[in-house]
Amino acid sequence: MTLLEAIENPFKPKAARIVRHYDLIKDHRFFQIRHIDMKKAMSFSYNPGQFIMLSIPGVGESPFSISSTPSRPGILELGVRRVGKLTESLFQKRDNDVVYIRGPYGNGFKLDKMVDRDLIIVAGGLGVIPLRSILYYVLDNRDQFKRVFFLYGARTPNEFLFKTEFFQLKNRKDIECLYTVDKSDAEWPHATGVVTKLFKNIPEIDPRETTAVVVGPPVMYKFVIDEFLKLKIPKNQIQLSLERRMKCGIGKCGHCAIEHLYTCMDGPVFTYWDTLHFRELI
Amino acid sequence: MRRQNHVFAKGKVAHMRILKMQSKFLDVFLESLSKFGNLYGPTHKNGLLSYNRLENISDLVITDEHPMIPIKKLFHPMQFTMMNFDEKGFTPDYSKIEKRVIIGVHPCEIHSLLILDDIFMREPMDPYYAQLRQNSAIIGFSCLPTENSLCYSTDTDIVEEGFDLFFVNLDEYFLVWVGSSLGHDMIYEREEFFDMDVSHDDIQKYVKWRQKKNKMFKKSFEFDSMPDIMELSYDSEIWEEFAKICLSCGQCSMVCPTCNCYTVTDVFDVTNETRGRRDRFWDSCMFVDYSLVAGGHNFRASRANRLKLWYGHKLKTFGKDYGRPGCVGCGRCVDSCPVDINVLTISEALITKEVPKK
Amino acid sequence: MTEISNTKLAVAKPKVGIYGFTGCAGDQLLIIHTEDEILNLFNSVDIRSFVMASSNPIEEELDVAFVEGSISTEEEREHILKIRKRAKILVAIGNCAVSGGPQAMFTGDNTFEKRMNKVYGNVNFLTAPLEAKPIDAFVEVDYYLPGCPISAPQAFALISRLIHGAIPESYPHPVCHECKLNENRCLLLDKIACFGPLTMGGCGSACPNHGLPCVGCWGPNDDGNFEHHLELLESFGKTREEILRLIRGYGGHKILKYIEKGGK
Ligand SMILES: Cc1cc2nc3c(=O)[nH]c(=O)nc-3n(C[C@H](O)[C@H](O)[C@H](O)COP(=O)(O)OP(=O)(O)OC[C@H]3O[C@@H](n4cnc5c(N)ncnc54)[C@H](O)[C@@H]3O)c2cc1C
Ligand code: SF4
Ligand code: SF4
Ligand code: SF4
Ligand code: SF4
Ligand code: FES
Repeated sequence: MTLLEAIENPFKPKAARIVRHYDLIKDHRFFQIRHIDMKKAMSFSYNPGQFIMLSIPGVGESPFSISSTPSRPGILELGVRRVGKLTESLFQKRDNDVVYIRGPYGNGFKLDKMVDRDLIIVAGGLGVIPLRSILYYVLDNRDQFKRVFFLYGARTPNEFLFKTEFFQLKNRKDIECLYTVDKSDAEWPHATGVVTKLFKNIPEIDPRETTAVVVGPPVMYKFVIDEFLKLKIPKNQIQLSLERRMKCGIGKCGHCAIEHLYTCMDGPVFTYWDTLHFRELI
Repeated sequence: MRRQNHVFAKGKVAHMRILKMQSKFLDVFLESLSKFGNLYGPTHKNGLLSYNRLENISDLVITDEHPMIPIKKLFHPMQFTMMNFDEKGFTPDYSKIEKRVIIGVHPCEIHSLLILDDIFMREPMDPYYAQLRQNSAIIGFSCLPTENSLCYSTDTDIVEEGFDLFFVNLDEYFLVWVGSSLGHDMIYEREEFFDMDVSHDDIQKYVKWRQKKNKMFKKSFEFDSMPDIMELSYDSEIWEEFAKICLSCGQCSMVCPTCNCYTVTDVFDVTNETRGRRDRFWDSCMFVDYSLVAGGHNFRASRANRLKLWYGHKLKTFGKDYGRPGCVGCGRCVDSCPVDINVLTISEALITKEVPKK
Repeated sequence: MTEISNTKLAVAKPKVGIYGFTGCAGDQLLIIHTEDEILNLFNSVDIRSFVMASSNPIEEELDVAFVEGSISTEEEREHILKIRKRAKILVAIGNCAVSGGPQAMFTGDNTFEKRMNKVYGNVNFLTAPLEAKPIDAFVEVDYYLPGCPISAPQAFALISRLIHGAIPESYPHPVCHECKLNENRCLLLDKIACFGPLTMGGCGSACPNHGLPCVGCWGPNDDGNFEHHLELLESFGKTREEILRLIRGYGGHKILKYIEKGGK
């Protein structure tokens, strides 16, 4: 059967090595991984907002957003929360251990809708992991975008991811970073309160020339989108990323279905306008 | 644009040929097809009709009834090993793929495969489904409606593509449609059985048969207006009524020929080494864990929401680039659901706003 | 579910103990010895205690303890508490350990009985209640392998994951799932009182494969529609009492608890 060799099996994951890892906060770990096949490592191209399927043989496979930027090829970065079977086994891995990955999957953020516009990026909780990709992409291609606002809210200072990195970003002049926590402590140097409170710090924008991006826990979307709408940003210029259970990543297993769409192929990034047509919302 | 990567496209004949075969030749002819692959078809297994490998052509059961488990099981196997793994990585397991000739496939079943093609053959192709499909010939057979057949309502009672040969039973003889060059080769092998001249009378007889068949349907439903009714009924309390009685047993997904959902699980061998397999098996959106994501958030915890997704796929839209809902009118949900939730009761309830009484 | 945080069981041979209490003689794993895997199993683990082989079974720390049988004496109760203390992971295997088994058939923790009476009228108990309870009535159980006998594929899938330091996967679907994959006609269509939809799968739909209704021995499927299922069976002409007795007869008292709660 010659066809057998001819068809590349899209389910077959490729070996990748954990290059480095460290804990972001409790039960949240940062991983840098690289395809063992160097050619694959360098040619692996993706968009911010896409995800990979990561396998540990015998344990299973799960989707994870790519947190690194395609503008720095070679190494893929992930931020992983320990919640169950696969993530538990991943947390047992050490540097140089091998995992298996396939992808990239999903559509990613619509970059063409951001170029030459102001950009407002709003992250809540774990949502900052995929948004970190677009953030660095934008900073690496800074001249393509107008003003950039990065709003990030966590529940407590101890749950604030990428603290060192993001605090340093605050020193940059070409991006406005606004951070908040719901409940602060004595050492917390930034705002306190829910992320929507940060909107008052955004100067006047031209809504037609602005693209907004939001990723966070399901409950957050409604409130943040309301703020975008108050700023009069058109619904199709608001992008968000949805999470669904995923078993295949390529539109076969059905698990990520939202009505007749498959989040893994038709998403995970949708515009707010798209989601208005979904009866089962976020 | 529809189904441009369809497996049959390569061998499609522009004008379908129609031939005639006397019924007495059927068994010998079907047996001769083993030259083209292992023969499969409906057989009796524990008193139920089931698609299986035919050890003997006499095992083949051609009736108007459908096997309880639809033909998808031959292309999207219920349970199989996708890959084996060891410390060197994953190796695909294609051991299920073989040349096959599948005999006795009814029109709705062929339609269901065309719908599954849209999912599994969409890029990137599912290599398991695609290869099973590419290595299988479909020998279709006409049938007459049974108790719960709904294919007249869903417009899937006849097929124009998706088969290599299609036999229409006109009692003393069959009219045989040739749907692919492979089908042509099959005929060519036993040319002596076939009459190339189909007369006007034969066509008349076929038209009469169609008319008779059309009158035999006992049940029907408003398939064409369902997409709109579904859209308008998203918040209908009818869903809650059905949700109260649904057992979440998932049988509807197993028996529906156009449910494609599956889940994947890894199994280690019982050794200290890294060795084992990655298996895949049928799943259903009726099961509670189907939409569960990390943190225990479940987008479809309620039975009502699960039913809405299921019937959305069957009666509203399925897949992205084409509008056709997934139901092909086979009637299996009507046969199988222990609490009578099916396309008939759902469509009726959504139209009349009343849950049908048993 | 307990986390097996940073225990890399795969590094060394995991230390395993097998214990049998009332009802079982520690032989569940041996019952499935005809399978090739059992040989591999004994090569992959270091069996420290085997209740039949050793007279003084618990003397050291264990990675995994497999426990069979129900607890019906004070001595057994103390013993299980000790095992729990020494074992990182405790797996209850077989129906007696998981649900109490036939010994627990009429287990009268009286309050339960009273509540039952309140909810379902006067149910006649045939014999005086015995004090036989499942393992989790006394200690926390990490994983369950129900059945009598247990299912070999399910047991091996769980054990092999534990050997590799991974969290086992539960089978989150009702018996009907496997029943359909085995191409059985649904017994409910013939008005036979099958408990498949209320029962956790994993048994391979053993009973329906032989035309017999599922009696719930694998324990509850917590997504079951308990309320309507009972109404459905009543519509087949069974009284509620008869239905409850059927469930109780096969160690299904965990299912009864769900029924009592009216499902989820
Ligand atoms: C597009 C996409 C991107 C993602 N990106 C990231 C990311 O960047 N970082 C990240 O950490 N996560 C991300 N996730 C989520 C991540 O995929 C999941 O956390 C991961 O799959 C969990 O796998 P697991 O095997 O560890 O957990 P599982 O063992 O599968 O369990 C996960 C959780 O689901 C629940 N659960 C599962 N099965 C059951 C059951 N049968 N009964 C009850 N509860 C159950 C539990 O509450 C558990 O906490 C992403 C998901 C998607 C879809
Ligand atoms: S609709 Fe019927 S067959 Fe489907 S899950 Fe509910 S009870 Fe079962
Ligand atoms: S109805 Fe449910 S099980 Fe069937 S294809 Fe759609 S999502 Fe999958
Ligand atoms: S919805 Fe029912 S009638 Fe339609 S294809 Fe599926 S099982 Fe057949
Ligand atoms: S026979 Fe029992 S287990 Fe099988 S499908 Fe019917 S209810 Fe479920
Ligand atoms: S994850 Fe399988 S279809 Fe989307």
